[in-house]
Amino acid sequence: MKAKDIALNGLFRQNPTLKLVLGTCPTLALTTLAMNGIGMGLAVTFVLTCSNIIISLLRNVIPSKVRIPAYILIIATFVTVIRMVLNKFLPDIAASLGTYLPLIVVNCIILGRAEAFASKNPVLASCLDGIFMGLGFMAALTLMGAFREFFGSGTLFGLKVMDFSIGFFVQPAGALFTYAVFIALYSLIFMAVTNRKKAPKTQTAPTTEKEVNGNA
Amino acid sequence: MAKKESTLRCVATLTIIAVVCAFLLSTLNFLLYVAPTVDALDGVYPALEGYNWEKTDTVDGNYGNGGKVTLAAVGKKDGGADYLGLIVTTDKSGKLNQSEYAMYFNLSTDTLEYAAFITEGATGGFNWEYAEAHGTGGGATTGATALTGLLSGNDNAAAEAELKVWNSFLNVKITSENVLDFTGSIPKTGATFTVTATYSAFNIAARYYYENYVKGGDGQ
Repeated sequence: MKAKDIALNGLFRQNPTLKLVLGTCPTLALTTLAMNGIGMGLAVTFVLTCSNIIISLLRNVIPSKVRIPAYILIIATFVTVIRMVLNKFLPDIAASLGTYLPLIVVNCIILGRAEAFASKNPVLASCLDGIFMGLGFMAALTLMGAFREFFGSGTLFGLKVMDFSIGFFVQPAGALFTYAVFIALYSLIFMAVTNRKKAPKTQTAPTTEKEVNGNA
Repeated sequence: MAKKESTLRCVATLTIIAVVCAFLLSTLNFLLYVAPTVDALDGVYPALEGYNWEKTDTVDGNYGNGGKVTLAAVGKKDGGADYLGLIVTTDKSGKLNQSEYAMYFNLSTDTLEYAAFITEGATGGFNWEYAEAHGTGGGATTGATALTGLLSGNDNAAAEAELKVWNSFLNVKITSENVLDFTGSIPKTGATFTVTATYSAFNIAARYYYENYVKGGDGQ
């Protein structure tokens, strides 16, 4: 698979949050602030990239019978590492992510990519997959966080931008509503892009038909 | 035969991965250790609500294999006695090693007034309350007796610290193991009882108090 395809898959075509609907718990719980999205996204990107690299390196060594416990061990190690790093250097972000930081271990995106991609592909491709899937997750969380923070608190990345706010958007119901809006928007854009790609093919069809008729 | 080999390979692979992960984490844990802040002393001892804690330098707070005093702070409140709050982290000796304890000394009465288990390191203990331990059977009695033994021994820190009262140690975990003094070693006397790294934590706190607030006079 080409690097461009891997990047597009992670960021858009197979976006883990908006297309695959994975990692829903942190998506709903942490997107009250845009900054949380960046923090969580970076943590997941680190874990995803590192675990993908190691799992890809060991893909021919780990027996298939014990692959899931082995993956969990590897993922848990990197989650503990990022937790220690954040506690040491960015304690505010670690505190705001709270219990969702250690829960990255059970994030479906990580285990899903390990099983579906890293265990079947070479190291470089797996590394790129980890990076772009993580960035796709981060982009979705940050956009949702910015939307909810803007309407729910009247701020953006902590800066006051308007005087009124709608409390609903920082409530759990607001999280579900925002998620639904973003999935709908993503689906509309995805369909538009897909149709646009299909369009040239239908334009070339008459030419082919003409050729066929001509030949006839 | 092939099945047995396959099972062995599975076990070996998981074991190797686990060992490598554990090695990596223990190395990073050492490098990325975050010392506790005075916030760790807030809200543990209910009687000290409203106290303001001010961190003091930990003088000779490292006790070798026993563990270390990772935070020392003096708590003050208008109309209340001054307290010394310690966060003690036990080292690698005994069960419940690498755990964290908050301990509170009343500076006006030289009393270790309260101790609480706040972070569990290695597992292996059971909940134990010192006040309840008196007169009850089983491990609880062993724990209480061991503490008495430590207090009466010539070579242990608790006795040297001249602590008058050991009150309630809530949520502290105790199990049957060797007695450990403040250095993490089995002391020469008063060592006929079975206890854990928790005792090491008590002794570290007592030793620290003794060295800085009894023998040394006014402490910091």
